[in-house]
Amino acid sequence: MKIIKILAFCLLPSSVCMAVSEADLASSEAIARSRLLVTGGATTIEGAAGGGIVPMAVISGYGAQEEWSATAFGSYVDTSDYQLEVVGGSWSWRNRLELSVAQQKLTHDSLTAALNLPTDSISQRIVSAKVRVVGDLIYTAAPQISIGVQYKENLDFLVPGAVGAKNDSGTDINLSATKLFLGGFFNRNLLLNANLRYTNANQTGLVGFGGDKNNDKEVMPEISAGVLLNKHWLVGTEYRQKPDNLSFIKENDWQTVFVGWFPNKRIAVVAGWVDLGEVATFKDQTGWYLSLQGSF
Amino acid sequence: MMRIQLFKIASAMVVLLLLISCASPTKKSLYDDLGQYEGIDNIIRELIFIIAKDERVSPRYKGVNLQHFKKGLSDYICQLSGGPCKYENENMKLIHAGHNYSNTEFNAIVDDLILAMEKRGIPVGVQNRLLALLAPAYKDVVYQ
Ligand code: HEM
Repeated sequence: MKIIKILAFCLLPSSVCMAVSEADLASSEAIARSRLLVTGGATTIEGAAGGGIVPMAVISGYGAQEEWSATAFGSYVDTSDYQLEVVGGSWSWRNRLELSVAQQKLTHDSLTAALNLPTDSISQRIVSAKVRVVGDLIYTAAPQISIGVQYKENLDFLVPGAVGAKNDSGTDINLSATKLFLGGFFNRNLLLNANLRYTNANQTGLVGFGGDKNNDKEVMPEISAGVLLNKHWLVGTEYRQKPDNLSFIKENDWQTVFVGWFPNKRIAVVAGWVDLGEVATFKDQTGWYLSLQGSF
Repeated sequence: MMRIQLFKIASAMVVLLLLISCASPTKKSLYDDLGQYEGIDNIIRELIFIIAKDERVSPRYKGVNLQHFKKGLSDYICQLSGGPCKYENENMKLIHAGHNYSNTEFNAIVDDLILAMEKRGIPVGVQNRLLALLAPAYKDVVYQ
């Protein structure tokens, strides 16, 4: 009898598990999705394909222009005073269209204790669509350019409303350009990405939308860069400018440094270090980030 | 404080990458790094084995004279990489037009070529340099 060894990847405490057989791990041909490894990116905390906090123009999964693809993901961020759990997935069509959902849960025990709040978490649901407008990440001289829309619904508006947020839902628009330069960094492949986000979301929307200080949407630049050490390992960094709409609580820009492991077209694991600055009165929110993505 | 920490991490990353890339000399021509004509020929032989087993593209090679294809592709890469070859049918558009090769097939061929180079032990940096030279052929090969 043949015993099939299963490796289970688990992400606690959100209990997102993924079972991958060793045969899957050994073969990159396990699924007929034809784009090259890593070109589907990882999944951002808002559900769109990209890095950890900055979306890219890439379409999720590995489907080429005659194929479709899907992904499921779970991510976990832990800073001194906050934890964020995200689960979600995407479906993509012909390397043209990406539809994704993400459910976020932010746990804020320190804030609850400090302000004697009746709740200890805030959830948000994000539904996104992204369209590749023009270009190919690798094969065209110009970068791949995509436009994305993210509809965000804050499901626990009590605390965000109390600190001055105006709305419990909002829509971000993203314009991204991404290019992979083959051998572009000392013969290693170089990934460069820029995103312009039109938004009035506070802390991605977890603290609602708009505020007393500013209620208008603004254009926020976000950038990321990475180098592929080989076809399985990506090291990168991201910077995301943020709005600052509330006078009661200050919001800072975010940055990350991460390592992504893409053993095959089935799974991707990203581990990183994050600096979220000041979040809702708690300073220096640095910590770690872990994300797990399965592609189908 | 945190900015300093980030700076340290970023610097360490840059140094690491520099060390990795400096370990492989880049001054030699790509042709030499591929193992000259014999090396290229071996990669293409490997590629043909892989294509033959790859159902995404193998039907496209039905009836193709594989000896001719092997020599043609090897000569082309030899010339492209700076070797002493003269490849006559330089125009990728002429060779591929009329077949409407798809984006999926192009990705599959690149996937297969990377596998072939890995099997032949070609270092990552050398693989990337060759891929960078081949990628511009996309517009002449796909949907033509
Ligand atoms: C980077 C991409 C590609 C390059 C550089 C390339 C290069 C070449 C070259 C140089 C030849 C001529 C060989 C000779 O002289 O006989 C050739 C032939 C051929 N190519 Fe491509 N090719 C590419 C992509 C593709 C793709 C995506 C397909 C589709 C599956 C394809 C299918 C063929 C076929 C079937 C032939 C043989 C034609 C014949 O002899 O009748 N190629 N290719």
